[in-house]
Amino acid sequence: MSVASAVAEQVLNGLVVGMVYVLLAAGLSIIFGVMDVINFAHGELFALGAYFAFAIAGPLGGAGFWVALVVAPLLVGVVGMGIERLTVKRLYGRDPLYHILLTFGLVLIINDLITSVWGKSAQPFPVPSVLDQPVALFGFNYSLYNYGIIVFGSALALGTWLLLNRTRFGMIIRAGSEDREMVRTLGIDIDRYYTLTFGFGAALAGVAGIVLGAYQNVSPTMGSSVIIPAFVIVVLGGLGSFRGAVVGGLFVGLVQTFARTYAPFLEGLIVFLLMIAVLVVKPTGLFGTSVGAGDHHDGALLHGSGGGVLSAETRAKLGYAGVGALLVVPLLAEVTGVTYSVTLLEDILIWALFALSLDLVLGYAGLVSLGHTLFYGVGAYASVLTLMHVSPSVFVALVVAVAVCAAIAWGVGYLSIRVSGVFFAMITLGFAELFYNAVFKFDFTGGSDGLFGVDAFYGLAGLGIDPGEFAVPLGPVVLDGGVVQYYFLLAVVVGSYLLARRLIRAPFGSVLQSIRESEERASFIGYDVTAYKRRAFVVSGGLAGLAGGLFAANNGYVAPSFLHWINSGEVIVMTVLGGMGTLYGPMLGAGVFVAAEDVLSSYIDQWQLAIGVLFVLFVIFVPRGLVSLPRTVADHPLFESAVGDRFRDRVGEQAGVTDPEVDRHE
Amino acid sequence: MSDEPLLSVRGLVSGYGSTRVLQGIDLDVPRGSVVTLIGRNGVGKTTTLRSILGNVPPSAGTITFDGTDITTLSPEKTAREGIALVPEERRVFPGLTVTENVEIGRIGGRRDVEKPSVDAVVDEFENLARHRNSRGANLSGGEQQMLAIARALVSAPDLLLLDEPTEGLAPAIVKQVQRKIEELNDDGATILLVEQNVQVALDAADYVYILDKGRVVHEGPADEVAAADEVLDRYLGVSMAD
Repeated sequence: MSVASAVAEQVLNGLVVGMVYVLLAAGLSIIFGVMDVINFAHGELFALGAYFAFAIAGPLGGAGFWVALVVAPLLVGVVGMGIERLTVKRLYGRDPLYHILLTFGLVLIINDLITSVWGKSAQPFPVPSVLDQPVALFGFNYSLYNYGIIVFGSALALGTWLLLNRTRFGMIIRAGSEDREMVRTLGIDIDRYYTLTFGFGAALAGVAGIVLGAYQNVSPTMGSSVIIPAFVIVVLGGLGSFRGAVVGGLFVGLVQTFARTYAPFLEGLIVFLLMIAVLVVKPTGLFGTSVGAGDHHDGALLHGSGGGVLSAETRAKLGYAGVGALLVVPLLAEVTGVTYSVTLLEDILIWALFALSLDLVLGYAGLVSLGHTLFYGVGAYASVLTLMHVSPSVFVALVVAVAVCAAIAWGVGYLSIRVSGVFFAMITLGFAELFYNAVFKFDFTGGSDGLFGVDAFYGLAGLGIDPGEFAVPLGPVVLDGGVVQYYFLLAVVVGSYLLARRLIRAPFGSVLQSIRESEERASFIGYDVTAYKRRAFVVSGGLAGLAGGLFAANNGYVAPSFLHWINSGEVIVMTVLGGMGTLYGPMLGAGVFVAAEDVLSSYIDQWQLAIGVLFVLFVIFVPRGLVSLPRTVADHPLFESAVGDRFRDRVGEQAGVTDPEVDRHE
Repeated sequence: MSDEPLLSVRGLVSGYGSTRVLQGIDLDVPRGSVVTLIGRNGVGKTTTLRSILGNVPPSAGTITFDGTDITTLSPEKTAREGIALVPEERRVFPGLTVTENVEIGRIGGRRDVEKPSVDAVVDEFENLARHRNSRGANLSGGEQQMLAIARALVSAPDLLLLDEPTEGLAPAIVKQVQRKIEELNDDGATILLVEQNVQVALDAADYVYILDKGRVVHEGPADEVAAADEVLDRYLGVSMAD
């Protein structure tokens, strides 16, 4: 084959993948543009399309594929409309963060449903025989199905463009994306159009899923493998821009395909590098404008109400009691033989520290970091690498982990904090994915295996404790090295909490919170808003690195999965679950989440589904987190007469606030 | 046609969260008249309009429009009753063309009336007719104001709410807007106008309400209010004497 045909074939391959991305990104972009919803479940709707088609086409035989191609997207569209009506709709007017959280819960639900119906392994989904033959064009044979994808994808994209730009429906949703209240005021029931739009976007994702499913195969992971590239495309092209989704989709498809063939090292990295480069030069993306780019939402982040029914003293006492209980657990575990509880608690403590670090930027500076696992993972790698190559001391390893993460946070912050809101979320996600893909590429990071088998020494220059040789007989039981690890961990986590509290109560913390409340006003007073946010981000990155470093040192290994975006999602879930903007809330959230995951996964198969459902309900009904529950209960009409009156005066006095639900208005 | 006012507001209390902005407003807009609300910043003029429209749900009081109680209607339902808004800061759709902006206005409004065609309405505005295919964002402030008025008119409303239509416009354009309001009124339109520019407000109005701290503190026919120097000075800090 000549060079020209080889290149031509790569171009065709790139266009095939690109078309799938175009369909996926177009739906994502329209949904974001119109409703400000960042739909993490879009990848699962894509997978659902493939599976519906798989289920329909199988029994029908020959013509099955064509029936499926029409019916499956419609079904996905109906699922999408159901999702919008039942869940997404309840969150309009809130910050886009809540949609990220909600759709993250939906990912768990849909994915678990897919695996429980169709199993965990990939299955072949044959292309219809009519299309399954080579065509000789441009001097080489190429699959008719692939040509079909390119033609069909182009036609659908064109159709979508016409729908948006040449129909009444399109005009209304374009207007709605610019000013939904004005559309309402004109007398148009925009909610109905939202539902249709969500359904339409979902159906497009379903089509993309079918097309790709038949090109490769159907598997439960197909959703999570495309969602991040799809986000990259949407951000690259410009949030909410249809043209951006088309150009970005084709471009990313081509770039990925060429990288795979001609620069394998860059495969998986180049897309994120491109996204970061574009956002640094033009933060709104290639075709994005400030108009309709998500700057018109007026919802605020909802914070855990610090005061609530419990007084500050009660909470402090509860805190002491909690730490006290944590102190005696290992002893009890030794006595009772339930050592498993110590491992679980170690997990909880590490996630609590991770959630605490996120809360400093999310809850106190209002920065939605969607890639926080970057710091957790890098901290873990830095810690293990230090233990392997520099010093066996955990202290040294942790200092290195914190320093490296703080430095990376400074760099990422430098590039990303000037862009706000959704763009910041996406750029942090982009950086995290860049590092995630990078660790696979290098030998020193152990590639896909990661690094394992390191021993840690709790001391410096030979003075200290080696957990491997530690054994103290204490009555009937012997305390071993695990206990040392546990108490060290507990001390670091409690210490970090106290440090964070000191920071938040210092003037620095007050400035951060004023920035969170109103960036504009804080800057009018004369504070350098960007510098403050960046400092908070550096501290946060360092603490997250500490959490990752601790985990790696404790368990003696690190793997690429530490950098997977699911961790970033989970830590946000924990933070919001507990109640962001209170330091103890997210730690509590981490405890509940990790424990619930542990308990549910040992008793039921569909534990992801259960967690997803709980979480969706939580985001909708208790957005201020667990710490707000006492107050929510006290304020509930059912209890108001019993509890409410007794506490109302005290609550008012302490918090100095009459009503945390006061809506913002312009 | 009855003698009942087209719009009648009684004891309207409204606000945002626990902040009460309106403390009990009474006002009437008779058919075919121009009624103006004036007052300093933050006294509740826009909130009154937003409450009538349903953008801010009232916590007490009643709003009756053409014999129908619209107090608790959502904005889209209120618009369907025949009330159109020309909002503060115009709020034309920046990404839509002039024609599309008017078209979308035509989709709204009452369903049971005959509406003028988009072209007919655009043709009424000289400076819009020249820019049919320009996007809203590319129009000047004055053109955007005309577009916002056109977008409201195309729905053939029974009542037009105008929120500070002259704000931020050059004096020559203010005159144009003023002329347009007069023209509309001559054609029989009923208008509720919120205006900071006291001169414009008094010139255009048949009847004037002065608002202060969420209450109506003075009301009367426009010429009487214009002569009530002491009132104007106390609530607005202006004098019409010269």
